[in-house]
Amino acid sequence: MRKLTINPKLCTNCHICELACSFKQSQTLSLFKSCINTIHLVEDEITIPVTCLHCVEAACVSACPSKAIAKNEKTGAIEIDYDLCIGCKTCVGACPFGNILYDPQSSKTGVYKCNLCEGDPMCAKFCPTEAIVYS
Amino acid sequence: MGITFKIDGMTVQAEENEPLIDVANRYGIKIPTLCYHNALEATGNCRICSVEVKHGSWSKLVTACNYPVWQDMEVSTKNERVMFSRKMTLKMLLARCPQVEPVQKLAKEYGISATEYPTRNFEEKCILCYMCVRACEELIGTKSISAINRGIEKTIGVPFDEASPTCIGCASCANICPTGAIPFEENDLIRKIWNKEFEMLRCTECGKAHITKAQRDYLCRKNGVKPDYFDKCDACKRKDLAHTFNSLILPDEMEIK
Amino acid sequence: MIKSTKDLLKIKKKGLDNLYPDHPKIAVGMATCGLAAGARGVYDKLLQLAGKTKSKIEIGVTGCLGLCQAEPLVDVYIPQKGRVVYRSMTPKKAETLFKGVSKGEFPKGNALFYFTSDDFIQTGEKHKYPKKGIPTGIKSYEKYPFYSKQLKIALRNCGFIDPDSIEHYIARDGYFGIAKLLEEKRDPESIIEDVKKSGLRGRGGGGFPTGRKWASCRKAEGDHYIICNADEGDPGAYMDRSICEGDPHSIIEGMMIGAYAIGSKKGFIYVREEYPLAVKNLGIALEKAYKEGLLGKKIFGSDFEFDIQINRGAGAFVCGESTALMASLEGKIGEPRAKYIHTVEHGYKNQPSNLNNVETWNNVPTIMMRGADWFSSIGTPKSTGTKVFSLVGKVENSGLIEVPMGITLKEIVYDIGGGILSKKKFKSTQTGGPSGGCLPQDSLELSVDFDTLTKAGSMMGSGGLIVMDENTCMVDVARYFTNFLAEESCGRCIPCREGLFHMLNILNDICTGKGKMQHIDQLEELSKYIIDSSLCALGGSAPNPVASTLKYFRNEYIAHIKDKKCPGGVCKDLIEYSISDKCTGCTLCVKSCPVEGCITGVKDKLHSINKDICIKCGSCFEVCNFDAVVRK
Repeated sequence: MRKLTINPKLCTNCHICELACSFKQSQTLSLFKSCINTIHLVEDEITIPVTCLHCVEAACVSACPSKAIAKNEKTGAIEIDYDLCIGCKTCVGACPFGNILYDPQSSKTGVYKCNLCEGDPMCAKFCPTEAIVYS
Repeated sequence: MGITFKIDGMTVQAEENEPLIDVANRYGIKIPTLCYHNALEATGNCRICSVEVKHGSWSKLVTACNYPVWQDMEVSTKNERVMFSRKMTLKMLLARCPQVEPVQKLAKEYGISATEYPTRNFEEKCILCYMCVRACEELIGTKSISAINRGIEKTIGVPFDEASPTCIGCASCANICPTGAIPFEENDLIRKIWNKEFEMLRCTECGKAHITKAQRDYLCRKNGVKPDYFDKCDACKRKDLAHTFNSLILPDEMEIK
Repeated sequence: MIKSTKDLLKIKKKGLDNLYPDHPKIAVGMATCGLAAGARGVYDKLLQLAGKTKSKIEIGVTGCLGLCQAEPLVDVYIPQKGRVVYRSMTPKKAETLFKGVSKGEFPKGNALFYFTSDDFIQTGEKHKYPKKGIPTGIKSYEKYPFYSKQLKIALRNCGFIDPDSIEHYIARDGYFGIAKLLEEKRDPESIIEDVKKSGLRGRGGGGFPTGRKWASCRKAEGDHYIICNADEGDPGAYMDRSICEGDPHSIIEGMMIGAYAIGSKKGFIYVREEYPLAVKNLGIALEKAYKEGLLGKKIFGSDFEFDIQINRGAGAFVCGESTALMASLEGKIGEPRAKYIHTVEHGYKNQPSNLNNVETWNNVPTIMMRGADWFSSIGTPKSTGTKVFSLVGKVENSGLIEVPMGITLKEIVYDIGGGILSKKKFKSTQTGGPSGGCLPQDSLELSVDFDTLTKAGSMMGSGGLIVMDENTCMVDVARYFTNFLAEESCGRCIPCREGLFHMLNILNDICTGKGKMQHIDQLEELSKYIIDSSLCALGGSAPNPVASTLKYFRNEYIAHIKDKKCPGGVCKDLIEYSISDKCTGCTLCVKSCPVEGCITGVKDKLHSINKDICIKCGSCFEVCNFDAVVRK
């Protein structure tokens, strides 16, 4: 099983991962529509890219009333099945780390999250410093 | 119990009593639906998934979404009888909701772009698929909306059109509606739906809102969670995550060599 | 407390003494038909008179005897003399009647017929009456044309007992059926076999073999429920109403037998809210049954326990459909659901539920008492037993009748019904209510049973039988039923909701002179679609009135569309009134006309109608004694 590994020490806060993710998700270039966010901590002079942890016991999975969120056995990602999602946003609140986003303008049901781009994560692909690696 | 039967002449395998539409989907046989949703109990409202089931001299039109399959039945998904029924359903729908895109699209697939049957209300968007009602009852659990009145006056609404005491303003009904028939407005302060204004729950850090206070209270009651679980928005929670990671990153000197 | 057949026998004796006392007894028919005709005034007057007199004359209440158009009916019993029924009573006529009875005499005025005996159908016994002092010139009940071809099984007690009296019910062998089964510890499956052997089929319209239904329900796993469908909604049908009002205990006993056979502990009677007297009388019967220990635990000393509760409808015809009824019982919206999974396996609260109609339940005690072979010897091989019909419309004798299956429509309309009212011409019989159809003259030879009428394009249904004469517009009849169904449609599925809406629009257009020939094609297209694609049987049978009238009376549709004329003389926009030269100038029409200045004319000279302001009410047509008013 391939894993997405993030090494914050290599992150330069260039935001390319965010733009790549945003474009993949909604064909826009917006830092607010990305499933990965680079968070710059001024005091420690470090930028930490934060994204879905694809938890083993995911809070979003157990919170979803339609059982729409589940682990994709092939990619290992926790993803939303839009044939089941009704857009109730319980998952948005349930995730303790804030890794499910809500955008009423987005297509489908308004909620979306990292699904490791179906096995070919854009953030890893575009990161120039290999701070994000998929291997 | 494994059984076999035929769909359009092809022998298929299934579990006894499985819904016919699940079997058809497995074999890539496409049957149109309008009121069917994977997360909801199939009710057979729209009749568009009607197919013919035959056995010997007995035959009947049934809705594939909720018909339990049995050994040796013969299904036709597009014979003359089925096509007549499907086209009539589309004519009825097009007459009812002439400006609704999913209806226009599906009707066009069957060669219907107009109908001689009159339209009662050209602005009508609701196709009475009941997805909103079922979602609210089966998944959210508040049962705040229902089908009201009978016959042609049938409509979806809240009791007496008044602000519902049980609605939490989650807008799942509006999201799931295939035709956008349920309007709602929202900003960071309020969400207005079904004649009720809901105060939005605003992030204690940045003020962004995603759910209503009513939904927060409901989720806390339902899951036994403390209200402060929902205090922050997703972006601010990610910032907290970053801080958590930061505190976990080992200084270089601690790296194991 | 009634815990054994012995207890029942004691009460039977008491009840018989009350049914045939040693003093005169006057019973007033106080079912809804009687009350509507003014029976309460008659009853109050008789009570008042009985209170003042010294001699003992008991005033009682009874149910519907069936000849509803002769209500208020009053039943007089004089010991050692006999029993005579009086018709069309008024408080004033009741005084005359009372005077005669206090003298020990049967007055002649308004006497309708007399009884030679009372049938105790549960045992086959008869209570013979003496025949003394019977008014001359009246027939016996057995020979009275309205009754002579009838056979009362379901209506066995209606009009013969006080519905509130459990003693009367037991006096006529009520509750002996269930008592015997429990005391003999009869194997429930053998009871189901008997019901199967009897050939009893659902009397609510579906005609499904009752024994088979019970067997499937018993076999299914879960908590079993027994349901009585008393939501009778067909316009003009009131068979179940009369049974609920006149003989409520028969339903209770039937349900008890069903519960024991199927293995159920809980039953519901779902009554439509618009039957307040039925709700009341069923409530009283339940209360008394509980008081006597006939319901609850340890019934007749056995382990059998059974509770019944009454649930009221709230004005939805669709709640007569079994799955909609069960949804309503659960407090959910009254909408049917797909019946691919049968309610006998998953019904009320998803548990095995056996639902039967009032008349079906009511037949069960008799089958248990007289035996399956006796029951199946009546009627036809595939439709055994009798059926109650509400014979209404343009017929001389209208009311509630019960006849063996297999009798012809002709016998019902002419022998029992007395032929067409006012000697007009027969046009059609409508059977099966809104799910049924209209049959023409040459269908009169058809026998009435579950299958024959269906083959002809109608159906027997729950028992509504409307007789229509030459002044009926068949398109208007189709429009009436379609309007009813469009309003009562639950509205859930597209074919019924949208389809009936369009059918009604088309029929309204046709009846108001806006019809086009393509409308007939549209009606046929919509009929075919609604019948085949609807979710439930309401939709599945809704086009029947249109389909049957298009089949047998197509010429009327064409007259409406092409000639803009209504052959029945009903559709206001398509008829006009005029005065012919038969007019004698009597001015009676002018006096009856509600529109000032519409009919003009000099006395004794020909009058004329102003067609521009005539509102087509037909009053002039009704009052003219010279047939001078012409309606075309």
